Amino acid sequence: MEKIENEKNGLIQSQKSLYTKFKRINQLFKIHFFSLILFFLLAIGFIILWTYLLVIGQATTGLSQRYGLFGNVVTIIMTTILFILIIQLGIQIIFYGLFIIRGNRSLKQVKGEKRTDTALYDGIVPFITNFYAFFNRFSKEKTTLIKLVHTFLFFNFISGFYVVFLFTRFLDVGNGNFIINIYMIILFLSMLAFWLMNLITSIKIRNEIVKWEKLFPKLEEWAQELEQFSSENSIFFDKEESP
Amino acid sequence: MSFSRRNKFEIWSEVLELCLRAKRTQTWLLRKTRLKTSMIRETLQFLISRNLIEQLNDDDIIKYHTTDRGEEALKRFYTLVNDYFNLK
Repeated sequence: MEKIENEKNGLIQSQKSLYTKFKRINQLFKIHFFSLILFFLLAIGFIILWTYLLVIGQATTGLSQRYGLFGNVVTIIMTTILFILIIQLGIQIIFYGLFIIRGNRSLKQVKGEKRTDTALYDGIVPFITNFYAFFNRFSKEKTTLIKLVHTFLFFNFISGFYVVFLFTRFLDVGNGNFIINIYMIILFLSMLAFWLMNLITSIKIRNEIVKWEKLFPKLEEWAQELEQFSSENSIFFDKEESP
Repeated sequence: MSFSRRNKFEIWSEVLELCLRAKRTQTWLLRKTRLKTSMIRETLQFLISRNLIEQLNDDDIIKYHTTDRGEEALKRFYTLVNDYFNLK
């Protein structure tokens, strides 16, 4: 009887421990997701400011008639890179957003249900399988999830330097207007802060995903072990107890 | 056994966990797991054959509950995940 109680307590402890870990991982994804959204909105804000400065004539694209371009080469490269960064931010938002929606759903199963003697939660396995489905979806032969996350990390890394570069070119432009100057400085500092937050969470997410990638083959082994069981043998997992 | 989109460990562990807290009917499990009827039947048959869940007759309604052996299997599943996250 005492052994059964201990086993049940062990199960509850395992569930508690996993639930705490999953909540932390979900929180990490959420922080990353919201920092991406804010960074995205600030980048849009930057484009609006830039367009406004062009309209009022305080900024110039340096029109080049020689090459038939709508601006000099530097301006065109800058604009292209900015749009690429914004598009990849959008892709990241969708990518992590989908995960958060499903992760939240499985963790919410826990809330509102009363604890029983045998178990605390119902949402532990769905959270794991949600991660697994995520891996299967993005882990094709050519593009693995790790590669994708590394690409995101690379973009998040260079975007900070790009923000600094952009503002070094634009901080002089708005000198004539005090409000625009203040707006620019706030925009610049906010973008830097969210970039830093993005970078830190990206690195942490990369580390988590590396862990998960190694875990899934072990869980597949667990399923194979179950297939090999007969209905008679009792203690089947503990290697220490086998003869 | 044929498992189309979801892996075996995903389905088995989920059913074991769902039947752990209370006795569940097949319909309830179908709704929760979003599996096809044939798939949930196969899964339940497999888990019963391995003595991981038991079939109970509760007021003429057939319900399923995770056995002690099933709990042990689930605990092993949790331990595998826990151990991975405890690695530095």
